[in-house]
Order: sequence, then structure tokens, then C-alpha cells
Amino acid sequence: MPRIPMRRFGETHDFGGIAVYLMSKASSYHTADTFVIDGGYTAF
Amino acid sequence: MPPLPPVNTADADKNKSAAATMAGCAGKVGTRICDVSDPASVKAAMAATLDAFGRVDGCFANAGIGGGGRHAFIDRTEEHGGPCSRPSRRCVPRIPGRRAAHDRARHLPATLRPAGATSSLASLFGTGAQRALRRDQGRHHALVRALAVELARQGVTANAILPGWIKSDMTAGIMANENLWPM
Repeated sequence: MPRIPMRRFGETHDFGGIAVYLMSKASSYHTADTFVIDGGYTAF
Repeated sequence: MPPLPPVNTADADKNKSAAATMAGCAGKVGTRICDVSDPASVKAAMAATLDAFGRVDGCFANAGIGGGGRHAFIDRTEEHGGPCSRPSRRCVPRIPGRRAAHDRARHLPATLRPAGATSSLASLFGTGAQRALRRDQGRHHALVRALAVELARQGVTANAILPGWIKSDMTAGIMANENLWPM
């Protein structure tokens, strides 16, 4: 197990949420960004 | 409720499996074989999707193909560009580009039309013997920002998604390799 602050691997539903956000009007003014979906892994 | 996006991959079994996971959702699910390294295949898949669904609300393009072709850097040859290079280098800009071209041709209004490129944390970190994939993932990270600027005037948003350790069929092998994890 890598050092993930959330102490678990991600599941597909963890990853799918960002796709829903990007497909919705909630993200209509959100562009040129990078979404890191890693349970805090890169914070270490 | 808009139709769910079709699943376009080069693997019929994966298409079938992905469609099955969405079978209980509202809307319509479609699948299609698409070789993203072939411009004609991408164009045909986009056209067929439009015929079936009427419009394309968003695109998500994966950055590349891991595994295979792993060679130590010091043992590389000129042929060791990497198996992922051709599809991943060209397909990610191709897919949102094709969608933007479709919108322009149809004079569609500037509404929400997202394009996402999935890369991985490996665009930020190094991994051994996968230089080609990591090179291309890093490239996509920068490419998305350029696409965001260029396509903004057409109402297309472009963002990159970097997943960490996500359980999937694709990552099952590497997650099972205990040699990778610190004791």
C-alpha cells in the first residue's frame, strides 16, 4: 500500500465524480485546470 | 435527462462491460469501436455518435497505454519511443478538436461543452522504464492548458484529470506487485 493519507486505494466511484462535475453546468466557467484525484497522495 | 455518453474504445469486451455498468442508469447508452490513433476512425466514431445521439456534450480522452515496451533507458534503441506514443500523443488533442470542429460546422451556440483529458500522477512523478507513457502524460498536462485557451472562444472548457491509485482492471497488476510498496 502506498502512503495515501486516506489509507485506501481509490475506487471507480471516487474517480467518476469529477467527470459528473465537468459534464454539469456547475463547471461552466472552470477551464484550464488540473484535478488530482488521489486521496491526498501528492500532499505527502 | 440527456443521453449518457457512448463509450468508444478499441476493445469490444471493454465496451460491453462498461455499457453493462450503466445499464441501470437513465438515458441511452451506446458503444462503438474507435482506434484513437487513426484520424479516420475518430472522425467516423464522432459522426456515428452524432447520428445516434444528435449532439455531443463532452469528451474524455485517456492519455495513453501503460505496460509493454519497457526497456531500461541505457538499453534503449531508436525504436524505443514507446508503444503509447502514437495513440497518446495524437489522440488527446484530436478528440476535443474533432468535437470543436463539429460544433463550429453546425454553428452551435457557446454553451457548456467540456473536454477532459485523463492522465495520471505519473505526469508529476517519475516511474521506472515507462518513459514514453510518462513523457506523453506530462505533455497532455500542458496541452490541456493550451487547448483551454484556444477553444474557450467556442465555449469549450478543457481540464486535465490526474487519478492516483484507483482500483481498476488496468491497475490490478501493479497494485498486486508488493515489490513496489515501501516496507
